[in-house]
Amino acid sequence: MNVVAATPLLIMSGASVLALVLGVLPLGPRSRWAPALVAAAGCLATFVMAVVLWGERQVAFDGNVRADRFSMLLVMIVLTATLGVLALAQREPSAVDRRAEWTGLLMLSATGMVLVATSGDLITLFLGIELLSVSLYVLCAVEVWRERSLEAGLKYLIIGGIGSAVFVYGLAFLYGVTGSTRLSDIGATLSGASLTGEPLLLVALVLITAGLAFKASAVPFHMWTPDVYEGAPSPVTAFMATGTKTAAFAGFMLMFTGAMTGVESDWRTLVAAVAAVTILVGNIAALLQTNVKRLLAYSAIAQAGYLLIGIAVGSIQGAEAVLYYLCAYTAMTLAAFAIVIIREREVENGDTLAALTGYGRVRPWAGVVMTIAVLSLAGFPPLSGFVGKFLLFGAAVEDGMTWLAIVGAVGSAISLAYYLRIAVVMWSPVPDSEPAGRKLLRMPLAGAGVAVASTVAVVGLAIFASPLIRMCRAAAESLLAP
Amino acid sequence: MATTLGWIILALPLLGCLALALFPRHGEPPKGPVIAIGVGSILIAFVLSAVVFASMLAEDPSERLHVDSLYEWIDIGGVSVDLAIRIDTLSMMMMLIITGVGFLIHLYSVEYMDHDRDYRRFFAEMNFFVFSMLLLVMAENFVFLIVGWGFVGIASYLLIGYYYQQADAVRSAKKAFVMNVIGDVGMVLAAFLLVRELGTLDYSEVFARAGELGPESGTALAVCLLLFVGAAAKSGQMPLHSWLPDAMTGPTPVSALIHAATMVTAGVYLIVRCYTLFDLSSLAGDTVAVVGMVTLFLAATVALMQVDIKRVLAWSTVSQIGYMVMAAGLGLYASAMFHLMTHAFFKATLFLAAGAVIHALGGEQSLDRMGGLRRHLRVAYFAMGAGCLAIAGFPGFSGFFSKDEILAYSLAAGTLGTIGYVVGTVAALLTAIYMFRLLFRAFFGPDPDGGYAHAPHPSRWWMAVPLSILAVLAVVGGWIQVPFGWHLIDDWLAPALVGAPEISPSHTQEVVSLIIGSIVAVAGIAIAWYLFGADRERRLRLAGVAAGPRRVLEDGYELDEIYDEALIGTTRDLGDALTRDFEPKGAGGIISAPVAIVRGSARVLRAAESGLVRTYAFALIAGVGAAGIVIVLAVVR
Amino acid sequence: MTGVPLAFYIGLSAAMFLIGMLGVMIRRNPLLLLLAVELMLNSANVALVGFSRHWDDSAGQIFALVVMVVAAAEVVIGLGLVVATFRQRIELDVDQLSTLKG
Repeated sequence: MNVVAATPLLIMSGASVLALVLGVLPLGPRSRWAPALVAAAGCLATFVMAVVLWGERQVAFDGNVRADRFSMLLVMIVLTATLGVLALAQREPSAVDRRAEWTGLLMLSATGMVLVATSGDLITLFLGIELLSVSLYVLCAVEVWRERSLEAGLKYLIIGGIGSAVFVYGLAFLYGVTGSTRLSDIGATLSGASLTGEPLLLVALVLITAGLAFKASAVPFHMWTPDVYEGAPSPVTAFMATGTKTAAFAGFMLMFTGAMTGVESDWRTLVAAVAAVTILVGNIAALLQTNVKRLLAYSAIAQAGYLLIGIAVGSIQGAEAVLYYLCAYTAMTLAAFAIVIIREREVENGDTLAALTGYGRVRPWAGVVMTIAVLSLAGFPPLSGFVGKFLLFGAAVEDGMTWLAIVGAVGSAISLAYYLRIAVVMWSPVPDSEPAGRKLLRMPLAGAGVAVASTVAVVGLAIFASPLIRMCRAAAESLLAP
Repeated sequence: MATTLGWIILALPLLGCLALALFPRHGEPPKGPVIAIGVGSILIAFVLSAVVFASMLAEDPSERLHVDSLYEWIDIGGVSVDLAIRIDTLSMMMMLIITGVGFLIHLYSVEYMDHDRDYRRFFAEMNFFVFSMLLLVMAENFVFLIVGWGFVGIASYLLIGYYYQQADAVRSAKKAFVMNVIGDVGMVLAAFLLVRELGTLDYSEVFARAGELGPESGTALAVCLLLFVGAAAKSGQMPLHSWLPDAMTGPTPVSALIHAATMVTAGVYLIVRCYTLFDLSSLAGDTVAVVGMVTLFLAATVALMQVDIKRVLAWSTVSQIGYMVMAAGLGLYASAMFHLMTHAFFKATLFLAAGAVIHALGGEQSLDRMGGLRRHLRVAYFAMGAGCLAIAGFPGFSGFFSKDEILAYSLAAGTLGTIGYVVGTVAALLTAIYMFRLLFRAFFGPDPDGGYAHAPHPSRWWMAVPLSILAVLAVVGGWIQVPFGWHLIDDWLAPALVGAPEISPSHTQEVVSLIIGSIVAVAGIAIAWYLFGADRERRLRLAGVAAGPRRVLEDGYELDEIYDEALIGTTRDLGDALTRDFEPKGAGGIISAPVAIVRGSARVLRAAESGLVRTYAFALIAGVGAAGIVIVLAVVR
Repeated sequence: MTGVPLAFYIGLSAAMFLIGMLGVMIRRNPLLLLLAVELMLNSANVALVGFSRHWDDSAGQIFALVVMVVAAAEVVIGLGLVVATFRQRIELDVDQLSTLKG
């Protein structure tokens, strides 16, 4: 049996369990960094494996798990996000308090994401999504002494449960229509026989779209997102914004661009409609927010809308654009959250716009990081957010969905209002309430490192876009490999 | 060699900006190095541009095109976009204007910004602007054009809001940025259309294969109009003009460089650059011409009533760019570029002279509190006089030749051109009146009531020298192209405008236009003298006449108020929505439909986030239902 | 194939799914909400088993087993969170969980 293709998954599972176990062992205070180190080592090892496995498709466990360019690229994105969040969490109160559980759960969730990316079967896909979600339910509520954290966790759990039920019900119908749970078989069946317009298939499509759109926080399945993002500990929020989004779009691409491409005519209008509504609602609702985490939640919703454009067009080019945008999006989101997290530890209510007022004048580099991050999120040329949107909208126009590109452009124009507000606030004069010459905490090195590295990536992925786009193209093409 | 130097020219201002920005934070650095880097980088760029220019002069006209690619930036499904520059006669001309005028204005700023605390930030941002502008004109494809386009927008935003302590400045900056973004969206959509139709974004290929869009086709029209949205937003053409007068909150050198000489003419450059596309669609060209006409006329009437010295100049800029846009729309590309060049000279002169006045009076900008400055500020007086004569089109001065060329050639450009000639001539009369009103009110007559708080101090040489050089250029710059004489601009641009329609006026048209132009200029100056110069009492009597219409003009036809609510307000209110929501509602003006819709829906969406789990569950399930309806509708259709 | 026709399986599962859906919309006690979610998940199981018989393929039954495990995990986490909430002296009524909104 060939298990090479499953090594990323196995390493991640092992590292998760080891990190959890380390918390139980009586190792003394000197080992407090052990779980994080194990987790980081696991991520790095997996990353290396992902690089090694980058190539033609290999399968393990009878095709349940596959490793090809597509899955390995997604694994790399997920691991980058995980490493970033691990670094950002180093001084998080809840993470300090329960180091092992925190790290273990984070790693388990990341394992779920890896499983989604490498899955070759509906069962493993579902299992991956559930693994990542269930771990996140706990992580959201990990600050059990804080009512809002608990509320976020419980809300996420209940609504997430409904979302999962809808999703798995859809998968059941897809199985009913095609008679197989294997993605490649489903693809062959749907491309071969003329099943377009089959009622059971339509039910399956609606439910699967809803289930995945829920995980990707697309409208109208998004309503949990702002509450959960605001209530959860900020590093967890950052992880949801990057990792979960990546996994959800991995699912979208595997299911829609990959397996169900044969019945594209049935689902493209639906996905396009969801994309358009998501862009508009996300951007408009973000306008009135004062809490930066909540604002970024709405921004994350809007960004899901842009990404859905790439799914709706259903082409290789669309998937390529989605993959590039996921890379860029992960970098810019990590950068923005890094600043919020750093600020949260310095003042009460550090996640509000008021707390960021004048922060750029106090810590200029933080101001630069935040400004670049929001400009890129807004799609300002020539940052990577712009390149990504360019690819996405370009794919839409190419595919005869010009209207969707226009909706995207209008949404981006609206989004400038709130993104620029963050940038303006950062550079406004320091408010009088701030005691002059107040001593700042020493900079958390790990957090600052994530912020700066992500910013470099935001700029670098734009300046040297060509190699990454080629990688994304190769990855997208492997999606349709038999 | 040309392109190697081109890359260096492009890199210099960027390096200057980075060097200034990365100075050690604490304590402002000494001014010497800041000046050396900030001004020096532009000077070297100018010298190198001149070298490239000289080397191109030596070449055969047909070989004056150099394209060089640094590396492939992105490759989207076969559409590859390189980081590449293009040096042809058109971009060369723009480079010389940008670095040349840019250098003089940088030099001038050394003294003008002397009292400023943020000396370094100013030069860093100015250098960044020059870099962006060079990128815009040197780009070889639409993507880097858009990148440069966006960058100059940022630079303009930063510099309009330079005095960020003033709420006004911040508001104007925001307004300018938002209106420019409207234009950017237009440009991006045009680029997408080109990708879809032609599968390329490189100038060389797009223009070579533009014919595939089909003459008079809907696609060609759409591409041109979308490009023109970008051009109009950047160049302050109606209805996207209103940010430009407000942009005067920036320091005066900024107004001179960005909001008069270079950035605002980028729209004209864009149309000329894409002349192959505009030639495909006569409807697009006509639209451009009409917008230019409306703008040049209305802006001239508004300039008549402004009291703030910089706002007079700002409205005059809107009007003068209107001339260029009209010319470009009529297919008179070389004429538009000629006027662009002379305008850069004389408008920069006017702004810098105004800056010298403002500097000397300690920040005073109102014409009501000026007078008799002729006796105090000799250099500024001569420069302002030269600039006014030039812009008014006084025979022999630069504006005379370039404006006359646009008007005379319009006569040969069909019916629309004839209308353009009439509108342009009337507006030329207004131009002479409003410019000399400014000159007479500020520099002639007695000192203002109560005198000056402290005696106006003349400028030192940092300001005087660049001002004088520009004034000389404003006087003689037009002799480069003389009717019945020589056409150096036409000849120079010819290789970059291959295949553009040849429009040239008959001898009679040329002569008539020259004569009428001269009469109009002299008459305008005379009227201005009669109304504002000769007799102060008469001017004060006039102030009481027709107060209502005057107010309308002073406010720029109150278009600003209308747009504020209708167009700009929509977007800007979004930004301000929060602050306003917590403020008691003022007795604000008419709230237009789009604003209400967006703001209303933002509130509804917020109310929908009730925090109740069951609502969310309901929304999710309703969403599934809605998705079902959508898919059934889609399949049935 | 003899026995119960496929339509019956689908009908039963659809009924279960709808009842679960109604439950999550009208119940306020988090425990009952969890039960309703369970019902929805199990409706998928019924459908899976039905299709599995229809296609004479075992994958559907394996899928159903996986779903059961997942459902159990979800309930365990849910109960844990409910207990933690109860310890904070918050009423067992999801309508009270609304400090996060807007």
